[in-house]
Amino acid sequence: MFSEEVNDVRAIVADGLAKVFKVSQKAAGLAAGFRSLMSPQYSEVRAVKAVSFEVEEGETLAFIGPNGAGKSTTIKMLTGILYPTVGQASVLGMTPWRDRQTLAHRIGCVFGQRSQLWYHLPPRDTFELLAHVYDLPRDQFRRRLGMLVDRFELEPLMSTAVRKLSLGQRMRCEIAASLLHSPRVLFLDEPTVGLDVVARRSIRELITEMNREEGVTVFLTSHDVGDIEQVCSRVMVINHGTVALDTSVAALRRDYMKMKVVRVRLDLGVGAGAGGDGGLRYGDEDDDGNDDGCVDGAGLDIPGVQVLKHKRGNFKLQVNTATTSIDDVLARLMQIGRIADITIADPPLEQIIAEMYAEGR
Amino acid sequence: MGLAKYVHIARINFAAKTAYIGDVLLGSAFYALILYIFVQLWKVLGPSPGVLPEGFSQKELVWYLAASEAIMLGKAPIASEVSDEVKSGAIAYALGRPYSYLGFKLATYWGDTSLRMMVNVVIGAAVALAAVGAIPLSPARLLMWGAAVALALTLNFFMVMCLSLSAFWVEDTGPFFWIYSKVLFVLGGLFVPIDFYPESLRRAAAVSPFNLVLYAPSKLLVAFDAATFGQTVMMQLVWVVILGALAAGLYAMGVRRLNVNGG
Amino acid sequence: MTGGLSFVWEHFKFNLASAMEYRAGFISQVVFMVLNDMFLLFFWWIVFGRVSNVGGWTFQDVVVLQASMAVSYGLSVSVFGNTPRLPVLIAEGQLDYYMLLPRDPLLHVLVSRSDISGIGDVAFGVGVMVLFGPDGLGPLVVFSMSAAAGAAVFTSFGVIAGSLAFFIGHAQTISQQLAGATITFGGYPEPLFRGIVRVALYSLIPAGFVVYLPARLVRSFDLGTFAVLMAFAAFAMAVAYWMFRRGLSRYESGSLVGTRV
Repeated sequence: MFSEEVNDVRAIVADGLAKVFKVSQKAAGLAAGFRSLMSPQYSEVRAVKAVSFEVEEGETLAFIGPNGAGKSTTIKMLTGILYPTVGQASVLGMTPWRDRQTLAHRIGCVFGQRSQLWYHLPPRDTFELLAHVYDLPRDQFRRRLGMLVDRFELEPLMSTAVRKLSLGQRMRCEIAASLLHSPRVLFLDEPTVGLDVVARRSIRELITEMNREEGVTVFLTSHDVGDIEQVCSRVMVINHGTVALDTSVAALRRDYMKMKVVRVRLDLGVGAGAGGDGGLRYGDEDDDGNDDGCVDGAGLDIPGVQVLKHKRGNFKLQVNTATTSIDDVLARLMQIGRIADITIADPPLEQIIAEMYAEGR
Repeated sequence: MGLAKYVHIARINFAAKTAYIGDVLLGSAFYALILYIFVQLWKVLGPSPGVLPEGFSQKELVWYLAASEAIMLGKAPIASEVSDEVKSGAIAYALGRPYSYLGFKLATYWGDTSLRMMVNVVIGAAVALAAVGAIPLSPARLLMWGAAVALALTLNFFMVMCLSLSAFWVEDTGPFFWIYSKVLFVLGGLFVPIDFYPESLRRAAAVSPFNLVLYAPSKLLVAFDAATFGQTVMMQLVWVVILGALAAGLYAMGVRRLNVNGG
Repeated sequence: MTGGLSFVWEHFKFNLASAMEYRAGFISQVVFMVLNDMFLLFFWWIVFGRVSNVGGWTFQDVVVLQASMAVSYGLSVSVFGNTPRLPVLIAEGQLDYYMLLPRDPLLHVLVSRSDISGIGDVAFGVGVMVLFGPDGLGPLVVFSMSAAAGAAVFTSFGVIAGSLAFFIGHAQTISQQLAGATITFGGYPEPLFRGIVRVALYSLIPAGFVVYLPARLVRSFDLGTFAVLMAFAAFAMAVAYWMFRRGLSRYESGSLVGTRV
């Protein structure tokens, strides 16, 4: 079906993949219970409708979309867990659901919420067991494990029961475990979910390194913009079971990630020209219901800045960095009052996706 | 004083459990299976001389087992629930409510147990009737048997309660319930009346309170006599009072401990 | 084949090591189960205090019966400890992990958990066999082989019932009932059951193959009976494997349950 030559270039091909789930309908009550036992009623849920794409070997792809968009179902079809209702797929030249066991030797998977480490045993033992599961020759296993332990800095964790590890430490072990058999494609489903900033950064760096050095194809889903920006070169958005956008991360950044959300708390008290700057006298409690009405009064009519919310000295602003730099915004804010606290964040991915839709239609 | 609310609690729990009537019926399937096996066993053993002790016919042995297993499988499981409530400190919720914790638990226990017992009595009677036929019973005897069974199940409640409340002091109460079920099995005379036992074991069973849960009420069903009935009910009441007081004491001590340790 | 055996053995060792993390819990589970099984003999001790045989079965025969049941069951739940949980794992879509690894998912699921108390059952069975069973090494060898076959039959029926979850969704009750009925019937001598029930015990409820045939073989070995037992064990495993494979193509992985409806 696929020639050798093609295999060398394309790690993943999906062609019209679709999955329909039958969900049984249950009504309440004893009589209804018996009725559904006799003649069950089903409704169909079309989780994925005709998804087609190709991923080249060595590529790093972020596969994103809101909850229930069909991400997990697609990943599960690509890894052989689910049979598609219709459509074709090829991963490293194999049909996942047909050649699942052979394919398993060549792909690695980390499903964020589901651990492959044995909870009561130290990671070393899980690695040993995986060596048996993957039939790795002893010396090859030892070399590979040594490398991963070095690279992922696992040595101090190796002999501690997994239940005693932090989430970040555990995730480092998870990823190392998924790389033990030197897979060519790595599927990562929300690998940084629940991690703190430092752990997140280290996970991202490790994934990037493995991609750069071993040419592992990375197929990653995440709700974290940071994962996408720092690990991936390409991004694909799936929504309502279809591919909504397929572009480079650079383009995404240029087009959509220029927005930043700035939350700032200003000290309006002494010395900040109280009363002098009429624009900042926000009544007291009476402005709760109509923020927008007061926004103009806030005197923050900077081009490219939208005031999402404000109350007393607390502002939530959306800044279009293509129009106005954050620096300019801060300078303007400091004229109003002393900055007591500030955070600058990317808008949530859901919002970015929503905007893509708004524009893409 | 305020008995009505406990009756109400029992009724609500009874109604709630009817939603899981399927589970209750499945439990009864096991009950019917055990009865069937024993019917077969007594059929095979019956003809051998000297098998049956004085005063028991094959027929009565089947009815005896129907009664004792009905109680064994009819008593609602409360052990793990109470132990968990103790462990999690949730038991303290009763302190702020206008009812006694033990009373509340007894009411919910009876709500569940009465449903199970109703199903078991119907199934047990049906299997026993079909297999060996009726034994002589009058409505008055049935009523007195019912009273003894009700006391037996109440006695079981307080035994389990005392063991469960030990969770205030003991890490894992699981082994206690395991031992309790085995003690009921042996000293309670679950499968055969304790009259079958070698003399020393029989005497040990007869003085223990455990025979009052299974053996005594079940034997009343097949071999009723007024004196035994009076004695049984008396002993059951005595033990209910003793264990009830013990459970109340354990609860009070435990809750105080809970307050000191802050849950 | 040897690869499969070492795979099973590796997992068993891991499960043991995992359980050993709580040494006191481990020991108490095993000891309790040994004690628990001893109570099974109590009733028979009372009965055989009054009669010399039950339908031609002696106390020793009943001991062999209990030992076969304990070892078959104990091997099944300690080595293939996920068997009873199979319907839940299927219905809740928890097979993903096993499907991502390059091993047969059925075998892998089954060996990934161990019910440690099963070791107590095995210890009890072997113990009473040695103490009260027929003398000599021969009966012990026959006992071991037929108990292993019994474990295979018991596990296979568990898998068959559990795999129904692929097709009907909720199969936990039926698989529990099947295991419960097998164990219950398996505790009583075969001569108690006749006619249609006897037929059921060699078909729907496999107590006949799990305990009656092994007990018969220990009593008096017969190559034909032994061959029947082994052939049925192989047949049951094949059917179980086939059922699970058929079901797998209908498998609906987990997250859907959580996010929709």
